[in-house]
Amino acid sequence: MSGRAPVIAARDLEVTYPGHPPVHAVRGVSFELFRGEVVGLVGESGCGKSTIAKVLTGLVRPAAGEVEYHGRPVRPLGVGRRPLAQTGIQMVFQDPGSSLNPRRPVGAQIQDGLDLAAKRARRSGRRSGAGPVGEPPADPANVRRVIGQPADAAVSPTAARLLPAGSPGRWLERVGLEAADQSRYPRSFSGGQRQRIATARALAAEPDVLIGDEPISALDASTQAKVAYLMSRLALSQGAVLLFISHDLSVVRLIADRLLVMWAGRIVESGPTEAVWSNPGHPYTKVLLGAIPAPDGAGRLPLVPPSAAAFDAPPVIHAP
Amino acid sequence: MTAPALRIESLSLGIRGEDGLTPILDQVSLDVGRGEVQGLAGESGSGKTITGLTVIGLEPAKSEVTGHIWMDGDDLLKITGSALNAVRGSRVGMVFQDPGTSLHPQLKVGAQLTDHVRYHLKVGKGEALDRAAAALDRVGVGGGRDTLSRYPHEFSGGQRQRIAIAIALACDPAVLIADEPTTALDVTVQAGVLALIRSLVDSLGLAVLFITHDLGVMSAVADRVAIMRHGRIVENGDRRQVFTAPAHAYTRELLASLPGAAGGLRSREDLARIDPFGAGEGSGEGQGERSAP
Ligand SMILES: Nc1ncnc2c1ncn2[C@@H]1O[C@H](COP(=O)(O)OP(=O)(O)OP(=O)(O)O)[C@@H](O)[C@H]1O
Ligand SMILES: Nc1ncnc2c1ncn2[C@@H]1O[C@H](COP(=O)(O)OP(=O)(O)O)[C@@H](O)[C@H]1O
Ligand SMILES: [Mg+2]
Ligand SMILES: [Mg+2]
Repeated sequence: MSGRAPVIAARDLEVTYPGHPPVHAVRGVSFELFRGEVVGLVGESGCGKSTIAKVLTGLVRPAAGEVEYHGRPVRPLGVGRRPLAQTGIQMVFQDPGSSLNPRRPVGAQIQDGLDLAAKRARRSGRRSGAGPVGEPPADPANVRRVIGQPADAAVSPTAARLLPAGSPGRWLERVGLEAADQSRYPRSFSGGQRQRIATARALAAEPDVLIGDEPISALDASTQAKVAYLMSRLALSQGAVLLFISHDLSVVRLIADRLLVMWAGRIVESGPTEAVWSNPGHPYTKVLLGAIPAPDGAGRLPLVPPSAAAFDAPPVIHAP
Repeated sequence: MTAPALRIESLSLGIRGEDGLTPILDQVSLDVGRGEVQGLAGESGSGKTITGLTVIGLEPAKSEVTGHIWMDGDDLLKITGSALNAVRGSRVGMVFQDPGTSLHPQLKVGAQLTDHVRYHLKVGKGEALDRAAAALDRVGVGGGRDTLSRYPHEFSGGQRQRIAIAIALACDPAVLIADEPTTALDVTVQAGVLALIRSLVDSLGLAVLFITHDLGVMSAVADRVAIMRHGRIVENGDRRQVFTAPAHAYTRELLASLPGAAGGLRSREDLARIDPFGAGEGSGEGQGERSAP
C-alpha cells in the first residue's frame, strides 16, 4: 500500500458540535484510502462514523485537521455549491429516502448522476465513461479479487447490451432492475431495491470514492449481504474506493479488505479484515466481536461487556 | 404434560379495506410453555408484530379474527372491554422495539410503574412503591427510590428497555411478548438485555414469545424457533434443529444469505454464490424492507 498516493485521506480530524456541553464527536482521526480497496468503518451508535462521512464529503467542517482528496484539501461546503471536482466523492445513506428524492422518477435521478460525470469530464477535457477523474479506467485485477469474475459480465446476467453504457436504463440493469423501471417513483420499490437504485445514482456520477453510511442497516437480514456485495462489486468495477460504514460487523467482514474500528471518536483498531476478526487486540474490538450473536443454533448468549472504562487503551494497528 | 402458558390456535386475521379483506395471518398456531422462549422470526411484513398484538387484543382496527388464544382455559379472543384491560399487564406483558412505545416520556419512571401496579393489582401506594422498586431491581436498573423519580430520557436506550421490561413484568404476568426488544440497541447493549430476558425465563418460569427478524438473536435466546412467511408459520421446531437441519426450503434460503449460519456466508468466497439481485426480496412490494412498528 505504501508508495502509492491515497485517493482520499483524513488527517488528524477533530470535530466538535456546539452545545451545552459541546460534543467532541471525532478526536484525532487519520486514515488513507487507496484505489481499489473496500474499507469497513465500524463501531456503535454515536461513536462518530457518520460525522467522519460528513467531513469526507465536506458537509461538516472539522475543528482541526483536514481531508485531502487527490492531494488537495476538501473544501467544506459553505453556502456555495459543491466544487465540481468534489462530486467524485459520492454517498449512499442508511435511509434510501435521504439518497433519493421521493417526488422524481428514479431514471431522472440516475440521469443527474450521469450529468455530473459528464460535466466533470468536460471540465477536465476527457470523455465521461472513461473512469474517474485523473485515473485510468478500472483495474480488472481489483475487481476479480472481490467478485471472482470479470466486472461487467458478472454484474447483470440479463444486461441488454443495446443500451448505451451511460443511460439510466443501463444503470438500472447493472443493479438488477429493468430499464423500464426508470419511470417509476422510489416509493414503489422495496427497501433493498431503493438502496440498489441509490447505489446506481451515486455510481453514475463516476465517483472514485463511494461512501456508504449504514447502507444496509434498514434492510432485512437476508437482503443485507446481497446489497453490500453488489455495492462493493460495482464500486470496484469502476475503480472506486468503497468506505463502508456499519455498526454490524458480520456483513462488513465479508466485503472489506481492511477494517477501521471506532470507539468514542477514535479509531481504536485497524488492519486487514481477517487479522482484526480473528485476532482482535483492543479491548473494545474484543467486546464488539464477542457481542455478535451467531445464527448457529447453539443457544449461546453473547458476552455482556464490562464497563466502558475498560476500553481506554491505546489503539491497535495490525500490519498490512 | 401440562398445558402451555399461552396457546395460539389456528389464528387467522384479515383487515377489511375498501377492496375487500386483506389476509394478514393464516392459521397461525404456537405454544409457549412456562420457562420457555418461543421465537418468532421472519422478514419484514410477514405478520410477527400483528401476531403479538392480537394476543393482547391490540390488533389493527377493522381486523377480522378467527381462531383461539388460550391462557389457563380462557380464550382471550372471547374477552372484550374492561376484562381485556385486566388481561393486559396482569396476565400478559408486552415490550416493543422502541421503548418509547411502552414508556410515557413526560411521566417519571416511578409513577409509570406504580400506576400500572395499582391499576392491575388494586394495592395501596406503599405496596405499589415497594413493587416498583423490586421490579427495577429485577431488571438490573439500580438506584431504588432515586431511579423512580427520574424521567425516561434520563436513561440510556438499554436502561429504557430494561425499564419497559420491568413495567411489563411488575404484575407478574405468566407470559411476556417481546417484539424486537433489542433491535434498536447496540450489540453490546443488546447482549445485556438478552441475558436479562433469559435469566427471567429461567428464574421465574416466565413464558416468552420473542419476536425478531434477527436470526442471530433468535439463536441466542430461543428454545423453539418458528419461521413466519406471508402470515403463515412455515416451520416451528427445536432451536438447534431449525438452525442446523431446517426442514423448510424458505428457512434454508434465509440461512443461506446470513453470515455465520450453517450453510450461510462464512467467507468472502461464499459471496460469489449468492444472487446479489436478491431473488425473492423483490417478490412483493415492501418486502425486504424493515420498518418501525
Ligand atoms: N394497522 C395496520 N393496518 C393495516 N395493515 C397493517 C397494519 N399493521 C400492519 N399491517 C400489515 O400487516 C402485515 C404484517 O405486519 P407486521 O407489522 O405484523 O409485520 P412484521 O412481521 O412485524 O414486520 P417488521 O419486521 O417490519 O416489524 C403487513 O403487510 C403490514 O403492512
Ligand atoms: N448535528 C449534530 N449536532 C450535535 N451533536 C451531534 C450532531 N451530529 C452528531 N452529533 C453527536 O456526535 C457524536 C457522533 O455522532 P455520529 O457521527 O452521528 O455517530 P455514528 O454515526 O457513529 O452513530 C454523537 O455523540 C452525536 O450525538
Ligand atoms: Mg451514523
Ligand atoms: Mg414488527
